Amino acid sequence: MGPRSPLLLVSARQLIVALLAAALLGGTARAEPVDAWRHDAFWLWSGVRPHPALAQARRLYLLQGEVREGPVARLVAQRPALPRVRGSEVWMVVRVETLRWPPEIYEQILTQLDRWRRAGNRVVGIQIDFDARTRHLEGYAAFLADLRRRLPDDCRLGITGLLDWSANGDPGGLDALAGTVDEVVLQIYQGRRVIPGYAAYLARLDRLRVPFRIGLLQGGEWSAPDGLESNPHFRGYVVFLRNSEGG
Amino acid sequence: MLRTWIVLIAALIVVAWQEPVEASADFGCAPSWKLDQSSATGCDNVAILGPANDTRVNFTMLLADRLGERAGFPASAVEAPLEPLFSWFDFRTTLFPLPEDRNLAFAWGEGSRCRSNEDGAAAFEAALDTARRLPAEERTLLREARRALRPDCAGASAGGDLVARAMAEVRSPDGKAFAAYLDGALAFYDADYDRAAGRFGELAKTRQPWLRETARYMLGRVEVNRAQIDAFDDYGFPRGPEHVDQAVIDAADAALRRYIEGYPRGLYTRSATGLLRRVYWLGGRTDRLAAEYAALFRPAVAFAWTPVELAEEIDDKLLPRLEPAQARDPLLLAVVDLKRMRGCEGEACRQRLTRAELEAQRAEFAKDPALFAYLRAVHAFHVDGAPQEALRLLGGPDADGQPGYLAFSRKMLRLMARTKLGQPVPTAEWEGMVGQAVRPYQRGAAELGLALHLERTGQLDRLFAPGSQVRLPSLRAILLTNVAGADLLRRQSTNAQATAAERNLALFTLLYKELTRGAYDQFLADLALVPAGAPEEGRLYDLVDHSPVGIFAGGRTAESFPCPSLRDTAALLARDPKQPTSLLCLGEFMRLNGLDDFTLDHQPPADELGGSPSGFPGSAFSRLELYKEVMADPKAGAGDRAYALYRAIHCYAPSGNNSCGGREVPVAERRAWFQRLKRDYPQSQWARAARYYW
Repeated sequence: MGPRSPLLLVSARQLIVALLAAALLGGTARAEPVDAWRHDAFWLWSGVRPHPALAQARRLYLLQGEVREGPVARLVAQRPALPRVRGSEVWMVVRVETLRWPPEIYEQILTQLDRWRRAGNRVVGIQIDFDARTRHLEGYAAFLADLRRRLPDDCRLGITGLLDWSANGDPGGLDALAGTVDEVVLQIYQGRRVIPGYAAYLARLDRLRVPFRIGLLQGGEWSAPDGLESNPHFRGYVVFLRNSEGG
Repeated sequence: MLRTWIVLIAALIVVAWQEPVEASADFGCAPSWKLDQSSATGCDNVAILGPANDTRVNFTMLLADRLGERAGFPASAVEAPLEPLFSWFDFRTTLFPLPEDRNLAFAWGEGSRCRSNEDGAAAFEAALDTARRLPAEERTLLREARRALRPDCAGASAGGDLVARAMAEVRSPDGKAFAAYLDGALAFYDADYDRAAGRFGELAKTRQPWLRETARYMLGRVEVNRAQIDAFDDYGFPRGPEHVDQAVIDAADAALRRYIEGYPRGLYTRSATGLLRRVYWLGGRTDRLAAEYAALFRPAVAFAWTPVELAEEIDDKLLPRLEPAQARDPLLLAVVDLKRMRGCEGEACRQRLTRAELEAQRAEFAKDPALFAYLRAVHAFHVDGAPQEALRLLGGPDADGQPGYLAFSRKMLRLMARTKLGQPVPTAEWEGMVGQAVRPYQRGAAELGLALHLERTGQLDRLFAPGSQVRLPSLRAILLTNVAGADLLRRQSTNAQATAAERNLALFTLLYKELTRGAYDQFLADLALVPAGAPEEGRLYDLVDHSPVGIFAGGRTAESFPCPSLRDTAALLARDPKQPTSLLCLGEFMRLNGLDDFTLDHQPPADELGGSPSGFPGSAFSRLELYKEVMADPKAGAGDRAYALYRAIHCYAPSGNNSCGGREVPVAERRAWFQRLKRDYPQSQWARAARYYW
């Protein structure tokens, strides 16, 4: 498939701006760069050199593979070797381009889960990282419910969420997933950039009924909006680690 | 077949699939629709050898030129229309579609020595079947034991007990050899490398040829795996050569070479050469690694790898460590050089290739002067910003009929340089490039070049004429939505030779711009072009394929502010373009149909396709500007003015970001609007409804 149509992409950018319009801004503290040393939950993507702060990790989200779109979708490995994490909880992350999974992919993921566990990793859940931006969210809830049924009982299901989701015509978009997913990690960045105006979006989290975490970018900007800490569904932060500049 | 799985183990492709870290968890990236690219974004690859391309794309194109069909490259263009700007993944799967993958236990590209178990078991059984002096019951036991062996490399293998029984019970010499092999395999999968090496070593003299060859190969594999024991960190990533025991690397190197020397055309020779590369990578022996790759690119060598897999492997395993002096082959050096010509900022610019450095490489390119000349021209064009010098270095025009990527790149760069210099380039030359585009993705590049040329020389009519060489819907859509004037849009809306999607897009653009740029009479006339039953449901982010032209005939026009049909609103505006209520109703239509800050009110940057001045007069629509106009209109009624204030305030709801387009106003002015609404129109429902400003 070639690049998406230009119109699609241009409007996606505009959407973000438009959709950030979310809620009345509360007063916020001065934004500070995110310091990995002050956190204990991290995403570790492929190609990122392990940060020393990983030693204090209590939750690790490790990218395992990517479901690539194609004539037949396939699960593509993103990790050169089997992880052997001691101590910390592990979430096995699958980045997803398409929801049209052939049966092999389910099989492969369940086998991976088992293998990771038998290698000594305390895998507590699977996180699906789906860029639902330009695709339709409707099918996503059904997809997740189906995946949920296939997972063993002791494996939680989590997802990442992007800021423009629930604003896309359906304010209850994320809430519709309550009961299916155990947590949503909301990313306040795109690529290496913190999304401008993220606080406005976050202000609407009051209404969210799903347990959620906030995904921060290492070194990115962050200031917690008022009321976040007291939100009954707020579970903490996950820091997306990256290689330092020029390193 | 055994060979296939071995390749998977040897293939070092694992992390090569990843996108750059910077792109992770991104919203994706949008192509910049131009040929003159200088930063690598991941989605702006083009079939012209250049600095902005992914190194894997440049490498693959150069390898295609050198080896062509011998390496399995398609000889001619792929049937499906290919976009001019593409990602590596699109490129690699178009050139070499991924083979079927029915492995249920492992992901594609996942590295594990246990991947080989199924094929290994099949080969073992086949060898059992051909062993003549094997008692029947031993054959049965050995077969069962092999079938029972189920390793997966996360812990101890299943089936070890049967292997132990086979070891204990078989008596015949061949049976013992097979049992020893089985025990070696079990130990290998269980990461007991000493025992595995011992067992495989015992088989050096067995009279069973399959066992003899396979055991010798396995001795190499054992050492490769031994070298990996501490090579990866807790998270599964390589820790670097300094954490690898160099003595084990030497042993693996020697064992693999012993196999290759003994079996230059053996069952596992290809795998063994792949493993050798892995050993050099693990051990940080970049010189040896580069030499191994360079040996593969020689035209005389039978090319046994999928070029795109090799590109991924090189990109991941070699390029990050390769010093230019180690490149060994002009092809590799060219890939490194091009990467170092990328646009840069700050500190990164110190790594940028200087002209002097490039000139000093003349000897390395002695066997490929054409490539060297091209690199110098690229350097002049992209790094020095000297198109005149690039032209000089490119030399006289190329003869036609050279279908390779380098020849095509040279011709395209020449046209780009002439264009940049402001020289008139005859349209026929660009059209000629489309004709010469033979290899995959060349046509898209040539079409983009031609489209840019036609746009910049005011020849859109020619571009949309029958027989036009610009066929890609993406390129045509960009020009229709951004540059086309009313006449052209109207013509394409009804052009029976255009696709239905293009007719819809042209009509949508035409009606949208007429309605929002004040051409109400024409809008009313052109409404007749909307076909009955045209879609109203918005896929507004995907106009190229799904323009919902029906919204102009049947879209929503009123909510709580009363408005007539859009046709009536347009008719009223045709009589009086400033009529406040009708302007507000136009705003309602835009608001209710999700057309705020719409794609058609934004143009691409001036240097990209669609970035030239629009042939459709008038400026971008903005609801905010519309409300300001009504607020300021002394003839506007109280209700209209109150509603304009209310809506203008809500353009900033709820985050303080304006979602209506137009010129921003400071928060003090928004406060003033709010106060004015409350003070001047206290009885209005809109004053009562307004509770905040943002």
